[in-house]
Amino acid sequence: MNATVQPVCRLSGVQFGWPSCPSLLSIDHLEVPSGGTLFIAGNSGSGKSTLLALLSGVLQAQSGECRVVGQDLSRSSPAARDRLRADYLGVIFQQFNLLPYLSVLENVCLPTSFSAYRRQASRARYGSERQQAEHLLNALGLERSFWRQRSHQLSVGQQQRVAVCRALMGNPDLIIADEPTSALDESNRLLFLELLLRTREEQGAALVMVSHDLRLAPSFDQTLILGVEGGDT
Amino acid sequence: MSRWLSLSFASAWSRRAALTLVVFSVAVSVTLLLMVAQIRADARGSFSSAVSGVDLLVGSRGSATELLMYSVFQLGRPTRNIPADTEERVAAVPGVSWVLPLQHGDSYRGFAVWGTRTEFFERFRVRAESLQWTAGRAFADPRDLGLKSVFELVLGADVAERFGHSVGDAIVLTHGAGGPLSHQHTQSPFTVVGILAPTGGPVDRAVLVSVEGFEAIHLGWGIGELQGLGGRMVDHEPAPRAAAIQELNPTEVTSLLVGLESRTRVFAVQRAIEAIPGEPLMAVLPGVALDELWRALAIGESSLFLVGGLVVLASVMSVSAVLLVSLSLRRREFAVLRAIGARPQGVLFMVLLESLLVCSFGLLLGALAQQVLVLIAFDWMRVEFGIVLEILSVPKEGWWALGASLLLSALVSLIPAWRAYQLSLKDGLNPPYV
Repeated sequence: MNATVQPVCRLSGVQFGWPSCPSLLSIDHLEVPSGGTLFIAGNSGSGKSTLLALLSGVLQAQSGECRVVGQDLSRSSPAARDRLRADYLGVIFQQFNLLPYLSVLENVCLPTSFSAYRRQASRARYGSERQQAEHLLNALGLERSFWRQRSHQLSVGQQQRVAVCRALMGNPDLIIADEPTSALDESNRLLFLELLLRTREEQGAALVMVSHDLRLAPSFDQTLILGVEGGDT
Repeated sequence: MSRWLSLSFASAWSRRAALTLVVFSVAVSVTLLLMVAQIRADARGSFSSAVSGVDLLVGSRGSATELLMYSVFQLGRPTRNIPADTEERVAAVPGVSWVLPLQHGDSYRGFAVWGTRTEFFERFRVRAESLQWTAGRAFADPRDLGLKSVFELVLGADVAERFGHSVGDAIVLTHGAGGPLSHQHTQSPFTVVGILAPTGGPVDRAVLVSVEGFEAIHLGWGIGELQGLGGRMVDHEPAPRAAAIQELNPTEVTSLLVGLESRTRVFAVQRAIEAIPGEPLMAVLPGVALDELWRALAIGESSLFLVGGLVVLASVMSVSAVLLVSLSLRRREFAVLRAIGARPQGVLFMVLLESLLVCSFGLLLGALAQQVLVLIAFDWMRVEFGIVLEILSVPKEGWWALGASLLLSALVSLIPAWRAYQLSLKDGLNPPYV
């Protein structure tokens, strides 16, 4: 893998806007090194979710270069961007991360069924997908009794931890998390973040996380505040 | 492919309450369509195999189908009788191998009485097989054995089974079509001498007597001279009276069954019979008469097929409607799949697969239900309509109907699948919260 040589994502001169808001997002330069962490904050409408959509290949920048894992997403086909997401990215939503008709274990194993690359990565490091899934679930404090359950039987906090396991399955290079703590209560929020940061470090994945809760920012290598000039610290 | 199949299945299973209903609606519609196809095919099969030993059917000139329906299947209106001496004149036509008279008009507790000759049991064929005996023998020919044998009678398999008759039972025949108002010929009790094995043809529902016996039913009613023959015949065996036997010669018969020496001459013989002077005659090839019947029924059959097809279309559309409604609740599900790396085409495929899964399941269930229905209706269809349904044998039209239904469901399934594709493309990873 070339991840150690080049940054996991590098944006330069990226411009994006909607017809209603022509210059929503403008990023001169942004780089997340391999295994690094980036915290993105900003008010509603400042383009946080748009930036994540650009990084995950759902939207395409109108100009500039948006490289993720070495691939310029601005010049990739929709199929190639979907492929990149399947092979190299893990995504965590605010909530409703799990397919309600699959068990916890089946949900966690989903990425390896969509990507041969991740299946091989999982097997290379843990012997089998199942073993990695069990390792991750244990690391996130989800005991064996939860593994056969459906998402509606879990609390929101437990669901979010299962989502972390799934995102990390098959060792992706980058985890993208969109307000993963906003549905959690105060006491769970820090615990969850700590688990997320620790486990992704162990697995060697970079993390880009959006949140409006600036108190979480100190745990990250970099912070980007959108909507404010020169917010990159 | 297999991962989409298992995902589709799991997803559909989680919404099984709503889907079960549409599965049933597909099943019901397919049962209907297959039943129409099967009854059509099997009616044709049963009717054309019911008279397989007979080359020509001769009767009074009129409608060929009516003659065939009435004299072989006892369906439809009675046809005009022909003089009994026609039998000899037809037998004299070159190329004719044998002639058998058939008399109709009387019944035994709802089952038709056939007046014919002993030879009938050797000549008549159903499904190209000659008649077999469950018990007893054919009635004797009264022309050889005299009055002693006039009241011998043979029962078809269904008649014997329905009333639990066995060889040796005495039976009273009614004049007319039966029912409470029919005249009971208490003077003419017959004795069962034989019971035929089941054939699947109309002969199963027949009560067979000699033409003399058939005539005796009528003569015994109101003609004093023969009244004494009846009940005591078996005990007393009155001496055969030549005069009485001649009185029992029929004056009219309903139709004649004709066998040929060679089938290649069938049209020449047909022309020769129809040219016999006197009462205008008609010689009918049973197969041709049936073809005429099917042609006449074609519009009705096609309409039934069309209705069946439209019902299938409606049920398949209801599957799509249910899936379409469910899509708005499944936008998060699609977003999760997209996050994992599924393409929008994958989402399309998943919904298409689910729709096909539901429809195929409905088709399968419908086909099974139809076969169960065939099993249940088998006896009733055979006894009431003379149609022998084939079990576990879907006719050609049935396969076509199944194939067309599957194709139709695939086409209609494209509607929710396409909608899911559009939603998934539009929402990406951020569906609206619902």
